[in-house]
Amino acid sequence: MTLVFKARRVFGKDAEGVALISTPLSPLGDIDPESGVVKARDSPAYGERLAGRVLVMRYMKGSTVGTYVLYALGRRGAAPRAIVVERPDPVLVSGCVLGGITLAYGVEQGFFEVVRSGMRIRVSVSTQSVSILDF
Amino acid sequence: MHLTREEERFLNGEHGEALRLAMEVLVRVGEAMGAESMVPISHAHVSGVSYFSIGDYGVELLEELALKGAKVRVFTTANPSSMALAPDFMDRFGARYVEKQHRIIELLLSMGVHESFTCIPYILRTPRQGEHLAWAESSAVLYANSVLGAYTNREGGVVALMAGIAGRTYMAGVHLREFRVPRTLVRVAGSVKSRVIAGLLGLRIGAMSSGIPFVEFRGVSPADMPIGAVKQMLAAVGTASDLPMVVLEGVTPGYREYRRCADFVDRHTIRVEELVSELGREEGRGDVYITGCPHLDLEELKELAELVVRGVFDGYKEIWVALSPKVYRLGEELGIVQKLRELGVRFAVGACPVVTKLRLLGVEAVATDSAKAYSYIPKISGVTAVLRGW
Repeated sequence: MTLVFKARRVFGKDAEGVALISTPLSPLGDIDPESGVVKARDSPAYGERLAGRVLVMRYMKGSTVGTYVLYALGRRGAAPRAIVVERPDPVLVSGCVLGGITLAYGVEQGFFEVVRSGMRIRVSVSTQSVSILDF
Repeated sequence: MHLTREEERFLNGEHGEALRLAMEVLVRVGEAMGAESMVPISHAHVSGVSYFSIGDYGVELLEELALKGAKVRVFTTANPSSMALAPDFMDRFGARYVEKQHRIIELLLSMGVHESFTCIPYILRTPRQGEHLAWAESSAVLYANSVLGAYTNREGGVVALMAGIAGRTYMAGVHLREFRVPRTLVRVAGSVKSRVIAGLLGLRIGAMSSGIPFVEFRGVSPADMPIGAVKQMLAAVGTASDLPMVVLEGVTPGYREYRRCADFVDRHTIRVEELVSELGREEGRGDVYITGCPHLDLEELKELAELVVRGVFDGYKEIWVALSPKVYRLGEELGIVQKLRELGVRFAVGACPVVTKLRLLGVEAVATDSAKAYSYIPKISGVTAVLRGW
C-alpha cells in the first residue's frame, strides 16, 4: 500500500527514489561535493552515494557555505533525487533552489517514524506530499 | 506569500534570469521562514568572499550569476577577502590562490558590488534607525540591530547577494517587531574597560541567552564604552550564538520600550571580575599578533598606533592589522600607516586573517585581542590562539 504524508512545502520537480536515512548532515564536511558520498562517520548513511536516493533527515546542519556545496552537487549530478526534512533553514532552501534539488519540508511526523532506508519514496510537487510506496 | 506586481514580474523572468533566480531563492527561503511578504531594503552586505571559504564551487556560482547578467539593485557591500589579495601578503601565497581570490572580487564588482571589502560596512554607509537591510556577517548584523536600530536578520552569504540583486528580502525574523522582544535578562556587574574583556563578555552573553538578551550594566554604561569595545562585544555575541541582536541599556535605540515589553524567561548575572580572571589564566605567546577582527576604524587605528610606538607589541615577530581599504587610505593620508610600517606592522587591507589558512603563511601560534578571532582561528587554520588585549 502507499502511505501519503502531507508536507508544508515541496518545491522542484516530482521525484522518486530509494530512501537514505541520515542523522543531520552538514554539507560542508559531511558530504563530498564531487562524488556526493556521505563522509560523516556517525551517520547511518556513511559511505553511501546520494545520487538517485531520497535523502531523509530531521534537519540540515551547518554554515552558509553549505549552499555552495548543494549547488555543486546539483551541477555535477551528484545530488540526491530529493531531500526530505522536518525543519528547513535558509542554507538548505537556497542550496536546493540553486542546485535544482527537490526539497520537501514540514512533512508530517508520522513519515519520520515509519520510513526506513531502502523504502521507495515519491516526492510530489503537484500534491505537496511525500509517499512511501509498497509499504 | 503575497508579492507586489513588480515582484511577480521579477519572479516571472520579465527582468532577466538573474533576477528571476534571486527572487526564487528569496521567495522559497521566505516561505520556509514564515514570511508573508517581501520587504525592500536599502543596503545588502554579502559574506563568503574568501576563496578559502567558498572554494571553486563558490567561484562557479558567482560565474553563473555573472553570466546571467546579475546586477545589484541596491547599495551592496561585501566582506573582506582572504589575505591572498592583500598587497602586504600576496607574494606569500601560491599563484592559484591569488588568481582565484582575484576572480571572486572581479565577479562581485562586475555585479555592481561596492569596492568595500570590510566586515564593518556601516562606516561606508550608516544605516538609519528603522531601515531594513539584508546583511550577512554576524558582527555587522549585531551592530546594525543593537547600536543603529536597523532591521536585519543574519542572512546567509549567498542569500544576501540575492537580496542585493532583487533589492529586497523576505519579511521575517527581526524585520518584525514581535521577534525583537527581549526574552533573557543579563545583568553585568562591574565595569568593562577594555576591548578584550568586552569580547569575553560577548562570548558569555551569547552562550547564556536563550532569546534576545536585554543587557543591564551596573558599572560603566556601554554608552560610555569606546565603540571599539562595543564592536568586540557584539562580534563575540555573534560567535557564541545565532542571535541577530542584543538590546544594550543606554545604547540600543528604543531600549526603554524594549525593556517595557520584554518577556523574560531567564535571568543571568555576569561578574566582570570572573572575565578578568579568565583572561588572567591565558597562557602562552603567539608568533604573530593579529588585530582588526572586526576591522579597525580610524579611531582604533590611531589608538593602536600610539601603543605600537610605545612598544606594547615588542616581542612579537610580526604585527598584522586588518582593516578596510577606506580606513587604510585615511591612515595613509594622516601618516599613521607609514609610521606603523616603519615599526614593522603589516596591513591586511580589505582582507581577513580569520578566513585565511594561516599555515600557508608559516604561522603556528597567534595572539589576538579579538574574542571572535580567538574562537575561529584554531578551527579554521588549525593554529593555536591566545587572547592578549590592548
